[in-house]
Amino acid sequence: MGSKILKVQKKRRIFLLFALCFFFLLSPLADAAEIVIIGDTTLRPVNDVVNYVNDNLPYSTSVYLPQDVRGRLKAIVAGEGVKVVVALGSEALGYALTLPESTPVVYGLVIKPVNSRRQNISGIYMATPVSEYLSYVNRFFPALKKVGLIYGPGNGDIANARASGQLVMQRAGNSYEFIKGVGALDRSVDAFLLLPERDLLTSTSVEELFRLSFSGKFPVIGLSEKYVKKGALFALVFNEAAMGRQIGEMVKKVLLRGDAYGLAAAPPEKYDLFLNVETARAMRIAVPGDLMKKASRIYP
Amino acid sequence: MKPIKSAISSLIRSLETRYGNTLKRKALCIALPGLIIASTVFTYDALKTERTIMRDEIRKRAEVLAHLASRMGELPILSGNAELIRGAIASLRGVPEVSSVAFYDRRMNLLMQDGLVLPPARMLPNDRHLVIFETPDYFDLYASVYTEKEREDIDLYHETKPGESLKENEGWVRIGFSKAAIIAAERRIILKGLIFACVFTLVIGTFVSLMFGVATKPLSLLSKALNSVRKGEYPDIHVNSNDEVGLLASEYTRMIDAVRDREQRLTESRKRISDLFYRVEHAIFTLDSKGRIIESNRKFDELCGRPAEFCSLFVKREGKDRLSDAVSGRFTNVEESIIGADGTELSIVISLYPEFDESGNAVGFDGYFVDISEKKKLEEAIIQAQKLESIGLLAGGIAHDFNNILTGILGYASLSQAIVSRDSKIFGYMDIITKSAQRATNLTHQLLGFARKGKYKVEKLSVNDIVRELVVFLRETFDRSIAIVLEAEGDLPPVEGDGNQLYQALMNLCINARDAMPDGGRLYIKTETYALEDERTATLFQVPRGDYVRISITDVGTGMTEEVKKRIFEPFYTTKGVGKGTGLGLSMVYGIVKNHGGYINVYSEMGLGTTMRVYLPKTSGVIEERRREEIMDGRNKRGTILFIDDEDMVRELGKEILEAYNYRVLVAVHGSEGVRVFHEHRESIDLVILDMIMPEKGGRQVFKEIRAMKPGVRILLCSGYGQEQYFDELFDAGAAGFLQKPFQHVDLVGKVEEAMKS
Repeated sequence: MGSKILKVQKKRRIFLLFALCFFFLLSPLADAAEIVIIGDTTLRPVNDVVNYVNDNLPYSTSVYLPQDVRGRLKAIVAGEGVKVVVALGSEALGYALTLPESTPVVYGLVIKPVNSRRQNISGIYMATPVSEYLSYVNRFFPALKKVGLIYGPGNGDIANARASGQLVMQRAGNSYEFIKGVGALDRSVDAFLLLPERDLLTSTSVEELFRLSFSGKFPVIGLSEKYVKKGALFALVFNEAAMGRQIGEMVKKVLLRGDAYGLAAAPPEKYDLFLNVETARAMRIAVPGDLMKKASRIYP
Repeated sequence: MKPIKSAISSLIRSLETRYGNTLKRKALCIALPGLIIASTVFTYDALKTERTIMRDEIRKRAEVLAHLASRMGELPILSGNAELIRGAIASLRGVPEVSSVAFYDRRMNLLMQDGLVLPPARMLPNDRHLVIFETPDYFDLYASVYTEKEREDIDLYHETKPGESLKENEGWVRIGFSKAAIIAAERRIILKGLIFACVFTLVIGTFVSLMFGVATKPLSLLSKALNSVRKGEYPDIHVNSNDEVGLLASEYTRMIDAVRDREQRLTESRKRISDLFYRVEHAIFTLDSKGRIIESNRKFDELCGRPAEFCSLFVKREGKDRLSDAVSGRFTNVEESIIGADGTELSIVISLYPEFDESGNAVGFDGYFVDISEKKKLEEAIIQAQKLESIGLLAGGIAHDFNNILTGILGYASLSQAIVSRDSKIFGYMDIITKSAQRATNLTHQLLGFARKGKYKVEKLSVNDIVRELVVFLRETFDRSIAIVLEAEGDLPPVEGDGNQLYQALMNLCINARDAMPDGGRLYIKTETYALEDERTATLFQVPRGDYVRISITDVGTGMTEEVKKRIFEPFYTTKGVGKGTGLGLSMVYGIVKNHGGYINVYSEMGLGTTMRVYLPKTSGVIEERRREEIMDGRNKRGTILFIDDEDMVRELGKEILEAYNYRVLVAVHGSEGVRVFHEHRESIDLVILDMIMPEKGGRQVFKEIRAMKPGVRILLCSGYGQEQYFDELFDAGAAGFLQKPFQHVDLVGKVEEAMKS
């Protein structure tokens, strides 16, 4: 009986030994890292963030793809003693939001500030503020008196920004309503400001938008370079290099403080201007030379 | 595979039976199924490919339509507006192939449907954007109606690659896409394929037929040429090709040349054999197994006519016995008698050879025979002639001896009468002796005539003159019941001979003719020229071919039997009663005619009459006037005569008579002594009487030796046999005349005087 018990114990020890060997051999995550960066490294802003952190902060860093941390992020953070988690992109942010409150999270490459009950979090969002666009419109395209926009269900704060009488706003629950709204705005606005509404900007609604834009002769403004390429008059887009540095500085700030409490999310510090002169010509809109000088790229 | 092979084989055989067995047809028989199979396979493959292409195209169209529908359905579904959905359905239904359209929400609840009623929708996963089910009549397309969004916020700022966007299902549009177009297209393809297969088969079949026609044309020519060869023609063919067919054609030409040459030689050979078969003097024939005559040559037909049965030809025994003998090999060179075409009996030597089949049964006979009737007649005639010749020799010998005896009797009787008084009894006795001896002399003369020893004088004669003289005599002497009809050819050539003998011969024939007509009748005498050209006749009568004078003596009497005909020329053979004939008449005629180089032919029919034909060789020249010379009295004639004769009595008689006529006579008992005596007295001898028949040295030899000593000396030939053939040679050499024993003193002195004058 006693020998049998000894044999069972011996087997258990051998099993544990093999399990440990297997764990250490297969898990690079075993390396200790103070900063965990989750993001798609093929994206330039993600690389800029990683480079900045590695170059400027004296902390060890681990970089993960979002799909690599799915369901494991807590373990990674807990096992390595992570001081800050940098979530770049909405998917990575979604995983990061699941972390305990104690783990400070810095986010980036999301459209708008995170509206969450979690307090130990801060970041830089990508959306260009409406005011910035209106500033450009008023300065360089004064003829565009009325600017319409349609916001989605999650952008109620924009509705609150109706301070300017220049804006004509509508709410849409889906792409159909978006199109319907655009159609409704057709005759009442001089331009349409395109907000970064992922749920509304389906391929169909975008095509219909531009069809209505060109048929109704009201230019679309925003949202990014690719929309300018599609026919938008101009767009103000965050500068990617500046965005990386800005996120890196936010990480540094959180590391220095030990947490992110009280740190407000910030918009981009620097914008690039993209201009489509052919749309301007089609819309018979004069493009000022100063604006063209400011443009990072002019299409076509 | 075996049933297919056997089916193809039987099909080819039936086609061959029905349409002939040619390479072209075989090629078509082989090519056409191949073409049909190839066309079918090609059509099937084309159909399959076309169907696949069509299906892919339709599918693509359906996919495009589905994609379009999904795009079209996005806003109507999102809006939930029935009008929008109806509009989308109407747009989709505008596509001809769309038989039905239905819209569903994301939970597969039917929103609206138009067109054919489709089966209940299936539950589909949301991540599938297009699901196609296929029924026999249509494609059942389920296209996901989705919204396409950016997957990440950053994607709003960056270009996203295709497929990276996020597609969210909003509902489904279900389209019934008709396959009518595919089915119609398939039908068109099948129809086209069938037409193409038919045209292809027809064109390739025609092409194959033409190609094989061109390729096998030389073979067809060869075939036709060979068919013509079978019919006996030898057409030339020309194939301008160096391939195997060309070589075959040139070989054919060489073969045809060889065959033509061979056949020509064969034809010539066959013609020669056929000519020989029909010209040969042997009767040749072929029989079947039952003795029926299958083939015969000209000679056979000539001799036998055209009898159906070989066996019916024979006179003796059953004809079938010959066939049995032939089968056993015992019927070769057999002498037989058959009934000829004219009903006469023919003597033949026949051989019959059987032909056997593989079982040893006689299936026919080949045979031939030779007509030996003439040969037999010739043999009989020769035997008869030899018999007559023997009798003649015998009779001649007897007559010679008798003549010598009678010469003595007559001579001394006449000498005795010269020295005794006419009134004495002795003179009367001598007269009786002389007359008796003279009768005996007549008998010997007749015997000598038969023995051809009696031609005393040779001169050119007119047969017509002799006959006319005879007719005058006959009309005076014959009974009036005998009408004598003479038919004499004018311009009849002369003959050479003794007129008295010929007269006597014709007289004897006429007497026999008269005796054959005891109740009277007509006696025809006819003279004519006759050209003897038949070799057999010439051989039969032992005379040369040439022109003859023919004297025919015909009676309408009782005729003769064959037996009588065979014996009529034998001496002492007579059908007349005792004392009515000596039996030497026709023998003498025979001897006289033969002695004149002619021959005599007898034709007689019992109850109808007899024709005796005498043939005398014609001669040329002019007939001299017959001189009737008188014996001159020569008692006052003088001269020296050498008498050479081995018969003492004759020699002494002659010496007595001639000395009585004042001639100086020298004698010699045989030829050698005669030559010696002549040699001793050759200057004084005026005439030599020379017996021609002597022992040791004959008269002919003595004649030559005396002539050699004194060419101009006169020599009178003397013989008891009569004038021999070789005497002509001596006459040509200058012989002064011929003295026939027995002679009387008048005859001797006459001949001597005549010779002394020459």
